[in-house]
Amino acid sequence: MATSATRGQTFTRALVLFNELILVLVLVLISILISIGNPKFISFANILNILRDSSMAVIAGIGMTMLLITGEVDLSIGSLVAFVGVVAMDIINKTQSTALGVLAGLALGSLTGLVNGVVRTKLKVNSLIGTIAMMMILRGGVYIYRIAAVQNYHQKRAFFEIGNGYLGFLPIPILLMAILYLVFLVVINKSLAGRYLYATGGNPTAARISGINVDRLKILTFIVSSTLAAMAGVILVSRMNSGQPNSGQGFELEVISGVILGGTSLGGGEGTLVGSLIGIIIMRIINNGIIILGWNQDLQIVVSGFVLIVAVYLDNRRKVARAKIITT
Amino acid sequence: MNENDVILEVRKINKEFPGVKALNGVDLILRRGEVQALVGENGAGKSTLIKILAGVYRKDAGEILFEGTPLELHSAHDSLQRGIKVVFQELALVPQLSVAENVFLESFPLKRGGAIDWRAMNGKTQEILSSINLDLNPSRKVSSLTISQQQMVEIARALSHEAKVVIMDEPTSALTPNEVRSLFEVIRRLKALGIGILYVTHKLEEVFELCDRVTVFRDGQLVSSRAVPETNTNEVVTDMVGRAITTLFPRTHSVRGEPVLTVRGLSTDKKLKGVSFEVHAGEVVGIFGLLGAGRTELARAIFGLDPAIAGELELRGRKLRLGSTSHSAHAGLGLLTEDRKGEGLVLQMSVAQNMTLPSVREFARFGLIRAKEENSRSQEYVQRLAIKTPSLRHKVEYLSGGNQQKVLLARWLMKKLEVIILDEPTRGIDVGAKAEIHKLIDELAMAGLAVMVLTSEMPELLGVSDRILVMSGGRITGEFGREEATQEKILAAAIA
Repeated sequence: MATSATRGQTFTRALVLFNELILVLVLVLISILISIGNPKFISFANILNILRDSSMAVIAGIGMTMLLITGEVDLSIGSLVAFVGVVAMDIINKTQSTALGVLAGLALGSLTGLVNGVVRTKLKVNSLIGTIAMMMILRGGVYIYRIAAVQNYHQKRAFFEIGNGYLGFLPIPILLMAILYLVFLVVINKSLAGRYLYATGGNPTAARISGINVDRLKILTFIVSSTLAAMAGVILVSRMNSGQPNSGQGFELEVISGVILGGTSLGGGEGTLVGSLIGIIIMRIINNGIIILGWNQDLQIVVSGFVLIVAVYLDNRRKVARAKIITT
Repeated sequence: MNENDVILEVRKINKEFPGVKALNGVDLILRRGEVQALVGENGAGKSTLIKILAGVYRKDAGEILFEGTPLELHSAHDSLQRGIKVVFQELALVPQLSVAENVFLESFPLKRGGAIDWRAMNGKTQEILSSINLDLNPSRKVSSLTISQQQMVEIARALSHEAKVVIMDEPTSALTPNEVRSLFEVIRRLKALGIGILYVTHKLEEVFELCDRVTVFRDGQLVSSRAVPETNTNEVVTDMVGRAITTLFPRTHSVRGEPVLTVRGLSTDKKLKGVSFEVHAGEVVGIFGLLGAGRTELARAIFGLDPAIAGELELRGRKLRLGSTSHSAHAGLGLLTEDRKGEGLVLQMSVAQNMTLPSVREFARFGLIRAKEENSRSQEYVQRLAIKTPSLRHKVEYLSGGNQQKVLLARWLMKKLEVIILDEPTRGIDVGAKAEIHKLIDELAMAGLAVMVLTSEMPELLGVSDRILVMSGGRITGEFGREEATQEKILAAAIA
């Protein structure tokens, strides 16, 4: 009894101190298990495939990590991804300009973020509720805008390349992900803005007293997060080569599960981009494994549900462990 | 019934919190039909004692005798079942339920089969209410009642449990004079019913109007317990402050410069009623007030954390925007909050990050923080304030209270400030660290800052202040220079 209790404590303590390391071990373990079932899993082509499939969730996950660090959340990104895809495709068809279409999609993202941020900070609507409302508004909105999928009429090559092209051997979505990831790694860890994100989520009153304009910072974070999600939407529509109003369902939950699994706290003030990356890739690997092992694909949704529970449970364990470290 | 019947006796009760002896060998006797006042400065031990009697805290040592038999209390439910009812300032009612439902919350009268017997419940409630001459409809929702009526519901609840002891914690602090009068009526009815009443208060005139006995607490000890007719205000006040000031405060002579912060007619909708004063460069203004006097509210309103409904603020002659914390912070105001963990520290961040939070932009170039500079500045202050931490990257959460407070002080020392407001800067801190913090307050003033120290500790107030403002009921009720200030004068103004 006593030994198992101490072992449990050691585990949670390790969870606090070496979170990323443990996640990498989990990732490796799952990979080995899947490889035993099907050795093709570990091939170079499949790894690139997994990374390319992960790119959208990782890009949106960057924004979600920042939002969760400030103590907020955005559940509207799944609907946003669909709306951005349909709008981008439609504008490209109308103007024959890939650039204009992409810009329109990103602008829709920024606008959505602005609205989410204002609803949260000025109308004081809890972001969980406010962004569920936005999720409904955007999903209904895109159906009103276009009920059917919008095809790439002019077969714009440039647009198709965003999601499907290569630079050398490297798929372009992975390249985009890598660039955005590195930029935001610096922003979160080295910049004033990053420091203020943590302070705002960790203790909003202390942040205000220190002169941080908490409302403005939160609105900006909502905008950045939604714009990144819109970027994911642009990649998705390009990969499908058509704007689909019913796409992106459950995308927000996949992203949030991965980010929380990666150690970002639901309570704000804590989280790392490295953790989010690993968390999201673990989710993706499980999904990929289910396909590669030839299991029922609907299991993906079931497993994601379980992972979400595990992720939040681990988040709670970390909090308890931290309290224990203080008292000992 | 014998008038002198002892109903509650407390013997040699001790209670210790980390670093503080909250109660030290307290003996107290309460008789049937007696109204006994408990008075004393903040932190004297009154609240701790009533929380022990309420079953909220567990005593470390000692005995509680209730009607002559020892009583072990493990929860609030316990003490209510045994017949002790505590009416706290924060009333424990369910606002969505009716008066009768609240009165019988722990034990609804049931019909056979388990359905609630509404008629019996409303009837009994009516009976209880009329026994204390109260005209209140039992089926009214509690949320529609005034604070004073809600207090009555709490008292009725005590009666429904046949309570023999009722303890009231500053019941009049939120009441109008008329409501106070009807509360006193009710208390006299309770007294006539033979109930023993412990009445915690800060207002001495209430003691002399209502109570039979006045018991004074100081520093966790019971100092005196006198029959009201045989004592007077002077004697009670002397007992309350009686300690000699032994700690030395290094307030060196300072030069008072020009006015820095001017506050004119500052009011908030909750507490402050037209507060005006000035603080000069190089001056330490101590602001004293008992619990609920409005000290913290004043600090919050000046800084913009709470909205002000009227008034003006000027910093060196320039108007300050009200209600904007970021504006205040950039104008050169600093605020050390009373609630260290809740409002000061960012627990998840490191020692260095906590120190530099308001000044980190000074170490940034193109929006990026220069870690080397941040660390060397932080290291400098860790050494200067002798902060005990394994490293700068150590999470601030893991430091002791005194060291956490020094981190927060370092935060403001690092920034160029005009005004610093320190709210209870030494609360919960051991004596050694206290002296160091007082030395820092002196240094801040010597450096030409306008310093405000909000405190409820008399020795600290008299030690660090050049000038003392006393607050009561959201107003300033007294102003004393360093030379003329005495504990008695200050307390008299605080009770006003």
